Amino acid sequence: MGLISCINSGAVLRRRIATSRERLYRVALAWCGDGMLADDLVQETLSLALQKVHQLRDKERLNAWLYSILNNRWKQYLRSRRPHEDLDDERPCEKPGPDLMVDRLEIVSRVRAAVAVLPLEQRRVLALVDLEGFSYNDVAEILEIPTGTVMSRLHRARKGLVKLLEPDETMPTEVTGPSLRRVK
Amino acid sequence: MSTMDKETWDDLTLTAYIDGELDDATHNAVLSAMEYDKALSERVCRLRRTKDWMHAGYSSALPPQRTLPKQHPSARLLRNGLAASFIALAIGIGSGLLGYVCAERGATTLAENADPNRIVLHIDDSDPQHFGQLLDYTEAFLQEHRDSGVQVEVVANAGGLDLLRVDSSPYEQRVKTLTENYTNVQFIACMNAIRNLTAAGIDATLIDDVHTGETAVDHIVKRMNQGWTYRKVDSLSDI
Repeated sequence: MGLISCINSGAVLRRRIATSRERLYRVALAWCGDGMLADDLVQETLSLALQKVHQLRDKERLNAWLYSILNNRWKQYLRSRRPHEDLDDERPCEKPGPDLMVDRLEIVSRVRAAVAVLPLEQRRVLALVDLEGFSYNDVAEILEIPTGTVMSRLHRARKGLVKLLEPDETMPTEVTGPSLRRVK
Repeated sequence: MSTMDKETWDDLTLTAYIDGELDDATHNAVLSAMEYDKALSERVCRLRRTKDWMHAGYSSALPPQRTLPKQHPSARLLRNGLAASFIALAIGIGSGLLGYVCAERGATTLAENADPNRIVLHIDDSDPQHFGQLLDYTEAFLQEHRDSGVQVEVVANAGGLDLLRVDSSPYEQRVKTLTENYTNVQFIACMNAIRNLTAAGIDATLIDDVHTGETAVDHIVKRMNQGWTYRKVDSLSDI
């Protein structure tokens, strides 16, 4: 690559990083449920991305790379807050408050409240797939977990969300069949 | 009944169906099965609703307005010679690319942990307003840090050389006064730029006490490797 191409490529990447703030923020908000914390996580992510962008070998992977950084910042934050907690713990972070079930809040509030109740690892997968449209393989790479784990966490997250947002309705009977072998 | 028995559609498969993660054959099989299996359709719809909910819950979320974090490129950039290449290119063709790179970074310090008391100021255009800004900044910096042991070097190349040539400088006296009043400031003219002017038949006589002997690129890279802070004239208004 020529020097001018190199410079232009770097400028394009920096612009793409700069314009990723809103998307990163939405995912960070879904993960942590706190606007100020989400903003700080995104700011740290962007700062680190700008410093390390020259290390990114595959420019096409910029998006996934940004979310990997965000994920690492989030994990660091959690470790600093709760050093003895297992990050892979699948238990819900908190019990659903009674208000969640009885109050008919507007959809935004209800969804955010429901997502906040999901176990942390489920939230992480759900936001990346349902908000950002990442493939399972991308999510597996970003979160550094097996693809099968992505699928199972996503499924549990969706079931949990349905249960929380439609408490009067039950999911149709789940069919437990052979393990999935037909994904791309 | 399809050859695919409905009991085979476990929830993980349906989740993958919703996300477009199934291979074509399986995807089509689920689609066909949904046509005659209402319960299956309901399961899929129910699972799919989470996407709509997530978008409803978060698509309106906007971060507070913040400026982009300042970038501090690693010293490795300098060590591996890339910075030198950028500077050589920018100065060599006089296109202002160095300034472009710096502006993109939002900061004009290329070296990590650069010493703020040792500054190399670079000018490569002949805009008299830039000349004035550069000298204003230089003088203010020297006055403010008179007793702090600061060092300032003004490096001119391409059009910037006009600042330091007797024939063209609108600030000849001011340059002289600065060098007389401050021993810690130096004005340096790019050797290549002088050579180019001379070759074109233009008088390149420099103001007294202006130094030369090196190319601008060599000098700037040397200083940056020594930990000096680099600033281009375009960025001085940010101070």
